[in-house]
Amino acid sequence: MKTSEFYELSFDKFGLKVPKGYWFAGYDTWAKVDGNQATVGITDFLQTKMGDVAFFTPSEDQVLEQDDVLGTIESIKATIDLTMPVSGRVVEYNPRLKEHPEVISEDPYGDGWIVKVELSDWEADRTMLLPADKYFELMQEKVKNALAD
Amino acid sequence: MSAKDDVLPELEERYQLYLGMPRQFIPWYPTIDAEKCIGCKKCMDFCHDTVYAFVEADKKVIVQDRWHCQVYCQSCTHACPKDAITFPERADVKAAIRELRQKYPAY
Repeated sequence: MKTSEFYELSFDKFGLKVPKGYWFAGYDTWAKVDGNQATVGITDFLQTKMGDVAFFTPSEDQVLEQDDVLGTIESIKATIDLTMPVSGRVVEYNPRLKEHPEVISEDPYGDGWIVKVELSDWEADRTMLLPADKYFELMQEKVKNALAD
Repeated sequence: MSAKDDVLPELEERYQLYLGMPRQFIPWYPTIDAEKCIGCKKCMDFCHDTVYAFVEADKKVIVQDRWHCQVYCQSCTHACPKDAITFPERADVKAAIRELRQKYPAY
């Protein structure tokens, strides 16, 4: 993607990106909607906070609601549950994550996507999500708070 | 009436709202089973939001600032070696949040 397609925040050695055209949950997962399907992943902020991802374990449910746990990631720092930003039937989990979960850290908005779903309630889901510019504002707050801790 | 009129003033500003909704109306926070807690403080090491506090007299952890808890974060449960921490049902919380969204539109 071109730089102009992102909002970007630089601090220390990090550059945190937020791609335009994606939708974001306050809990740092994103959805990119294409027709009645969405691709879901974690944000650059979350992957930076987590450090290198070592494992990803998907949920066993084939139908996930917005705010359900979609899987668990483990890094050297912590184990966290990821939360689903949209509702839908699972089409597929990213097959690369079995052997190469580190791709989540390397390319969170691209090759590091986590799950694709067939959307079931997009109009309602969208009212709980943030467009890129609003998430970028939220992310800046999160960074400020993380640095203050 | 805006969301800012309804926040808990005693909360630090960063904890007052969740996506434009007053945080104290969202029933998401941990509960610790005191019988199971062994006071190891691993939850406190994980959570940087001062949700938890250690009570020296009891050698146990308590939930001190429940509205500091990040909505839908329950990762402290992975840190607890005794499964002493529980959270509300996500479906119930989701229903509460969607109702709140009617009162406090997104943007």
